[in-house]
Amino acid sequence: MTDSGINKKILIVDDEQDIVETLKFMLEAQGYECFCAYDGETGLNLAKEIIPDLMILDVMMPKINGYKISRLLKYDNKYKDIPIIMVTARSQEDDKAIGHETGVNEYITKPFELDEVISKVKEYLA
Amino acid sequence: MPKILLVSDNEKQNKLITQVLSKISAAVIVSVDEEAILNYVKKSLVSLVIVDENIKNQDVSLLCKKMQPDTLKDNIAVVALVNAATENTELLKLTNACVTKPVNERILSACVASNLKLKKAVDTLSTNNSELAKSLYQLDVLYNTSTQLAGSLDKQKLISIMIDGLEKSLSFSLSSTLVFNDEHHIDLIINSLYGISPRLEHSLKLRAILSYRALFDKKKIPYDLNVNDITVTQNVKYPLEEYDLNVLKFDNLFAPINVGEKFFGLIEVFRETDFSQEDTTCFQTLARQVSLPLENASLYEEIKNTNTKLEKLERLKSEFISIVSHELRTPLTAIKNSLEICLSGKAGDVSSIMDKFLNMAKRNVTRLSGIINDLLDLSKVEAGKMDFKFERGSINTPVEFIKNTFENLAKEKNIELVLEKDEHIASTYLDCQRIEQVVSNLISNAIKFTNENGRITVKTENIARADIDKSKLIGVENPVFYENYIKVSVADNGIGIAHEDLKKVFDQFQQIENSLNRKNGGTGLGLPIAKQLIEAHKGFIWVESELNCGTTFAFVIPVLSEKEKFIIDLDKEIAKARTCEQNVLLLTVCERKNTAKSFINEIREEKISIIRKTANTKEVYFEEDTKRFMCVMIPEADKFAQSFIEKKIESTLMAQGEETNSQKYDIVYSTVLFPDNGEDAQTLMVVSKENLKNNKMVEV
Repeated sequence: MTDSGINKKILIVDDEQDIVETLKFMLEAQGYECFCAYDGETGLNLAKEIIPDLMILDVMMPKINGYKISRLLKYDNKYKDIPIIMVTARSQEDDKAIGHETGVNEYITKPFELDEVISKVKEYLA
Repeated sequence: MPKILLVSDNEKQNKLITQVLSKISAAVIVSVDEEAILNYVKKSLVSLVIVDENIKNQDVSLLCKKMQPDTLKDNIAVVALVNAATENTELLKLTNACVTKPVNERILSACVASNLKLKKAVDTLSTNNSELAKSLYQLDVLYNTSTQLAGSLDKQKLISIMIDGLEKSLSFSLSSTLVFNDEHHIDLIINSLYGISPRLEHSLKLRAILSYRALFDKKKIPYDLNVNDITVTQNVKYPLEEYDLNVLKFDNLFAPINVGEKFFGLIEVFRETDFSQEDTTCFQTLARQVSLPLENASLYEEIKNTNTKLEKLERLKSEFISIVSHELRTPLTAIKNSLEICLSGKAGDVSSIMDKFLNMAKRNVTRLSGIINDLLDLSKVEAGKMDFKFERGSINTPVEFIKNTFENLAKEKNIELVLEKDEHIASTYLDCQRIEQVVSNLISNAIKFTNENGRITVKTENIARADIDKSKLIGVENPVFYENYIKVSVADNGIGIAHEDLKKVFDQFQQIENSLNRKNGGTGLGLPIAKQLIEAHKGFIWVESELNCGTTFAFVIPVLSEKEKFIIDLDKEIAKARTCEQNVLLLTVCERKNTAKSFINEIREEKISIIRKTANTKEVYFEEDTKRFMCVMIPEADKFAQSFIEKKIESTLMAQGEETNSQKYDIVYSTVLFPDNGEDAQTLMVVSKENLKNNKMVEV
């Protein structure tokens, strides 16, 4: 266990269960406490309930998409400080622009390196 | 036998005259009734009129005046019988000749005979004349119609031009045109002076079907036609009156319309008055003349349909690749993550053999994602969806950057990697990231195919259009050349490419059969992508190679002026607008004095912060005809940008004072719209300039 992960809560929202599993495994190995949601609505409610220290968010999801979740959280004073890393298969320049406009902090395209995500997480939770 | 009208109540004289004139075979009708007289003249029933000056209760001069319009029209001579001492000068003026009373037999008969002869001559002359005028008019109509026909590729329009031409030259009462668009779409176009009774419409339909069948006399009819298959279009000039079956008794002309070898339709025209030989010729000529343009129109339609189909297929292919690639990425990420977890040892101990195979799996997953990225790139660039960020800069920057990243790889293989850059390289519009992608592909290929101790030289230089060896450019359709270029080449002394394979290197999925290539991996998409990326820069890429001696890949990118770049952008916008069925606006601002400069700068500054964010607005300055222009290009959908610029211009004009004299204004602007004003960037620019010259403020 590394010091960095102690008492930090991370919320992973992605409808791809396998992706969530692998991310969760690696992050827990770093000592972070992970919460998971497999659709947008659950993800948003969970975020408001536990107020995580960081969120990893997919874009294309059932019920509420990632852009909307990001916008809802980033324009709410209670939650606007939660860093959001957006992970998506959409890599068009426009998509990135929308992501940044909705306030996400990082935009990583699939397929990504786990190490890349973990180093970004560490950067925000240092 | 010529008929002569004698207007006189002197019975004795009348008897004499009738006798005299019968000798020159002329029949005499005597009358003093005004109504009857006018009627004879009006209907041209007589060839000559003799009037006595003295008729009881009758003003002869007035009578002559009333007759005059008709006598003049039909060349009817009027001879007056006057008293020797007559003072009626008016009557003398209104008549062609006069004979003094008492009538001298010889003088009268000579006078009448010569006037009759004259009438005959004048009659022939005027008939000829009017026939000449008519055929001249018909020729003119024919000429105009054929010019119009040549200018159209629309079948419906061609048919209506033909009918118009026929109407002008023949002034028919009714025309009925049967048009086969395809087997299930048959039109009967009826152009008529008056309305058409349902009975008549039905008979015209039947008549068209009968004529159609008669055309294929005894031969096999290509398509059996039913009354119910025909849709009727009526164009009626005066709908208040109506034609019934009586039209079918009119004189008629009939002709088939053939398109090439194929039957296209038939036309029949009806006219109350009979058709002359000239009319028939004119009719046949017009019906024949329409065939060639119709054939062209059919071919054009076919090509257009095929093209649309092809475009759709191409789009489907691109979309398919794009969707599949996206869908592949997600499972690929899960596989990659799982492998990483196993390899990290966090999921348990990994034996050295497990490690070897896990690494193998990971290497191949990485390769797979590379292929997917290439596929995505290619489909994007082909569909014109690749976002390019063209900025003015030096090509040395990306080339040098990529050369440095490959230095270690080259060193590992003991290959000498040299960069020879031209320090004075011209700057032009490039997308640095894409140029890096191309150069990286070329250098990595060179390293792959060069043996140990080899040498790779990367070179940048300025060249002129004439320096490009056009024979090397393969698979480039209708190349457009600019004056100056910058050239980047990557030359190695590696294994080379066989001559017969050179043509294939830029083809998709055409990996050259070569064991080394297979061993070195690669998707075979790198070079096709490079080609597309360079072509998006309006440049060319080519290869020269000799087996076992080495290969040189080179590409050139034009050094574009601001104006040239603008036209390229505009063309791209037009192409985009065409596929999205949307308009592009070209707004031109012309600056006449220097005072306008501040205004334009203002637009510029505002534009950067406001308009660029909303749309692909492009603007450029360039000089032409010693006046300075600024062109702003806005997609029509971007109403915000449009109204912003227009308001700016208006407010500046207002600020300049209330003079309406446009000469005092410093700024004149015009807007042009695709597709109303033109098909391409050049015509848009021409229209825009014309509008400026005419000081025209075009309403948007």
